[in-house]
Amino acid sequence: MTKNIQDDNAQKIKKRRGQMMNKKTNVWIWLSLFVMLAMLLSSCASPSTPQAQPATTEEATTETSVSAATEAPQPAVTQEVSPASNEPKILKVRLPKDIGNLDPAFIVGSEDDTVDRAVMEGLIRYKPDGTTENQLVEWIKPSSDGLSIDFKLREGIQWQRGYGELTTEDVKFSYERFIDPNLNAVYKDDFASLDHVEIINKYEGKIVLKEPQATLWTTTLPMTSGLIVCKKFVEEVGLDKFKTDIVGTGPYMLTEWKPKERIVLKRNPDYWGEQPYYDEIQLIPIDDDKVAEVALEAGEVDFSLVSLASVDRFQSDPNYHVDLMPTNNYSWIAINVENPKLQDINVRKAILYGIDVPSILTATYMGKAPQARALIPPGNLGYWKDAPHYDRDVAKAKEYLAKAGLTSLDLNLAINDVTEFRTWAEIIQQNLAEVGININIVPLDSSTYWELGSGDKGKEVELVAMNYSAMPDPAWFTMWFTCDQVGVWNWMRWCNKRYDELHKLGIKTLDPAEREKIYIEMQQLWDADVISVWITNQPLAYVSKASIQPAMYPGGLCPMLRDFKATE
Amino acid sequence: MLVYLIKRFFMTIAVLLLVMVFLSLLVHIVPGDAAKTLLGPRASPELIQKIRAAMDLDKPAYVQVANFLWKVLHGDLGTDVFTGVSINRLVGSALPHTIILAIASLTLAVLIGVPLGVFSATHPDSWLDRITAILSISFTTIPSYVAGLFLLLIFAVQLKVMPAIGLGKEGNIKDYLMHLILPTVALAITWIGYLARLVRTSMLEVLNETYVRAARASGLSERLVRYKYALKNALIPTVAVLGVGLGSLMGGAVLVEVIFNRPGMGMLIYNAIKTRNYPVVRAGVLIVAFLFVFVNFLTDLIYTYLDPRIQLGKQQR
Repeated sequence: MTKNIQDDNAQKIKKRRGQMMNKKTNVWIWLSLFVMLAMLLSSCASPSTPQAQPATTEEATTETSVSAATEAPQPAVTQEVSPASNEPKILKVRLPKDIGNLDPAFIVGSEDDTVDRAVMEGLIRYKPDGTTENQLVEWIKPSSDGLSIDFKLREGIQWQRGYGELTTEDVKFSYERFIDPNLNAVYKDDFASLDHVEIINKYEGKIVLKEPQATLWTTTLPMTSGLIVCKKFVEEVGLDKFKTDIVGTGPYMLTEWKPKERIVLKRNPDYWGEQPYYDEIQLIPIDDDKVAEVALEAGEVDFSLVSLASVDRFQSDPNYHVDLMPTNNYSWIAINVENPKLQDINVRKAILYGIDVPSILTATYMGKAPQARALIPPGNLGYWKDAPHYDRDVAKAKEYLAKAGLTSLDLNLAINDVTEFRTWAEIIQQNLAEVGININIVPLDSSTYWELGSGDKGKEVELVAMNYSAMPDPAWFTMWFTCDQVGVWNWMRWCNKRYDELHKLGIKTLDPAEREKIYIEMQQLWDADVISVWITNQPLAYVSKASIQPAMYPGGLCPMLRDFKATE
Repeated sequence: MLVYLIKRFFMTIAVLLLVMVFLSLLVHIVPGDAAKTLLGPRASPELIQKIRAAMDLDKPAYVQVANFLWKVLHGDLGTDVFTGVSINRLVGSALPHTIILAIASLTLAVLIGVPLGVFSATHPDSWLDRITAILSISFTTIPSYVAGLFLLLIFAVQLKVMPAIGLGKEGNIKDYLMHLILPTVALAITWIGYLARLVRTSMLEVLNETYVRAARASGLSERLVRYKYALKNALIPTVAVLGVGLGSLMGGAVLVEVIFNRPGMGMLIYNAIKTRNYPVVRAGVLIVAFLFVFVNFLTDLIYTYLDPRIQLGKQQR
C-alpha cells in the first residue's frame, strides 16, 4: 500500500516536473534569445553617424570651374596606408568630453577646437612653437592705418568630399556670418571691428574693418573663429547638421562620430600641404581624469590630459612622456571693493599679507603650479615681469587691520565646491584666523557659483575664489574687469576709468611694444588698489606614450593633432 | 487578470507623468540659469534666450510637461540643444548597452549568488558556510565603483588581460563581450553577496516547512527535495528582490559606465546633468523610469508562474 502511494506520488511528481521543466526551458530560451538579440543589435546594428554624403563630381562642378572640378578629390573612403609599414598609423587621443558644436561661430569647448583645427584651416595659423605662419594664403598684409587686411589665397586648394575649390567667396561667407545679426554668433566679438570682406577676384580679397583690432592677429585669424568654412557645404547641410559634421581643407577628414563613444579623423589623401604623420586619429571622450589615466596605462589611449597629482607617477615611468604646459588659466581670490567690510584698502592689504600662497600651491597642486603675481601670465604679451611679490607677513597683516580700526573681522569666502577650491579655502581660513579675520567658507554648486556676482546681488559678495582662462592676447585677460563688467564678470566690482581707457586703447594699438606698456600699466592700476590675491596660473599636464611627440596650441588650449609625430 | 493589466497600465502612465512633472519642476528648483551655464560666459543674452526657448524653459512647468508629453506620445523625445541631434537617436544608441550590462550583471549574480546561498543553507555551520558568509557580506559591502576601479587596476593595467574602457571594435561580438566582462563583474559583485544571503535565509526557512518534511517522508531523494521543491519556494522572495534589483542595477550602471567609459544610459544622463542639458536628462530619466516600472510589472507576472496561489487582480483570502 505504502509502496503504491509512493509510486503514485513519484509519477505525479515526474509529470509535474516535466511540465515545469518545459515552462522553465521556454523562459530561459526566450531570455537567452532576448539577450543575444540585444547584443547583436548593439554591437552590429548601431551605425556610425551618417555623415553628409560626399558631393558627386557633377554636384561639385556646378559652382566651380571645370579645372577645379577635375582636380576635386574623389570621396575618400579608403584607408591610406603608411609607406613605411602595412599597418596604418593610428593615434588614440582622449578628449575630456564629447564634441558639442563644431560650427566655429558656436563652439562649446576645447574638444570642438581640437576637431575643427584638424579638419579646417584658416588664413594664418599658430605653429607648435607659438609663432604664426601663413596657411591658406600666399600672402596677407594689413594696411598702414590698420583698417583693412589684403590677402591672396593659395590657388587650387580643394575642399574635402568634392566640394570644389576654396575661393574668396568662402572667406567672405566664413567671416561675415560672425557679424550677421540673424545668426547671432556666440563669438561675434572676435570680429567686433569687421565691416565686410571685399572680393577682388577668386583668390584675392580685402578684410575691411571699422577700426583697428589687434586681437584679429592673435586670437581671431589664427584660431578657431578664423577657420574658413565651406560655403557650399554649410548652405547644403544647414546649421543643425553643421554642428556635428564639417568639411574643411585640412589634413584630416571627419569620417565618424558616435556620440559619447568616438570621433574618427582620417587622413585627407588629397591634402594640398604636407601629409600628417598619422593615418587615422581616434578621439575618445573620457570625462574623468582618473579613468583616462587607467586607459593610458592599459594602452587604450596614447595621449591624455591627466591630473597634476599623477604627474610624478608618469614622469617616473620611461614608457611615458609628460608635458607640463604653462597655460593662460589664472586663479585668484577676488575682493569685492564695494562691500562695506572691504572698502578700506587697509583691510584688503591685511588679507593680502595674511594669505600664504605657496602653502596653497603645495597642498593643492603638489607644487607643480607656479605662483601668479599679476593678471597676465608669462609667455603673453603684456606679462609684467617686475610685478611685486607679497610674501606672507602676519605682523604686517595685523598692522593693516589695526589701521582699519579693527581687531577682528568676519568674512565669507565663496567657492565653487570642488576639491581644488576647498583646499584653498581651508588654508586661507587657517591663515587669516591668525590675523584675526574669521573666514566662513561658503561652498556653492557650479551653477549657483557662476550666478554669484551677477547683477546687484553681486554687491553682497565678500571674498570669492576665482579661476578664468584666456586666449593668448592680453585683451582677453583685461576685458572682464572694466567698469561695464561690474555685476557681470567683474566680481571685484572695481571700476577704474583709466583702466577702461587703456583697455580700449590696447585693442586698437597694433604695435606690440606699445601694447606691452599699456597692459603693464593696467596691471599696475589693479595692483595699487589691492583688489585680489593672486594664486596661480595652473599648468596642464599632458601625458603621451614615449613614442609620440605631441604638439599643443599656445596656452595649452588643445592638442594640435595635425602636428603630432613619432619621436625620433 | 485583464482588470489587473488595465490597472497596471494606468498606474504606469501615472508614475511616468509624475516623473515628468517632477523633472520639469526640478529645472525651476535648481538654482542658476540652465541656458547660461550651458552656453558659458561669452553667450549673448539673445542667444541665452534662444536656448531657453529651445529647451522650453521660458514656459510654465505645466506647458513644459504638456509639450514634452505631446512629443513623447508622437515618439519624439526631443533634441539635444548642444549638438542638434535627436534624443531618440542618443537613447537608441545608449540604451542597449545599459540593458545588456544590467541583464549580464543580474545573470551573473544569480548564477553565482543562488548556488552559494543554497550551498550555505544545505550545509549550515560548516566551515564552507562560514567562508561563504564572509564572502557574501564582503561582496555586499563593496560599492560597484570601488570594485570597478580595483578590477581595472588588476586586470587591465597590471595584468593587461582585459580591455579597460569602451565597448570594443564595432561589429566584433567577441571584443564586445570582452569589454563587457569587467563592468559586469563590478556591477554584479554586490548582488552576488546579497543574493547568497537572501537565498540562504529563505532556503533555511523553507527546509523546515512541513511539506518539505512530507516530501522527505514520501521517500523522495534529498536532492529532489532541496532543488526541486524547497528551492522553488525559496526563490519567490528572491524574484521580488530581483525585480527591484534590475532597476537599481540600472542606477548602479551610471557609475560603472563612467568608470569603464561605456556610452550607455548612465553616461548619457550623467553628462547631460553635468552640462545641464535638460532635454536629454528628462528623456533619459523617463526611459529609465519606464524600464523600472516595466520590469516590476514583469516581476509580478513571474510571481504567478512561480506560485500559482498568487492571482493578480484578486484579493487574497
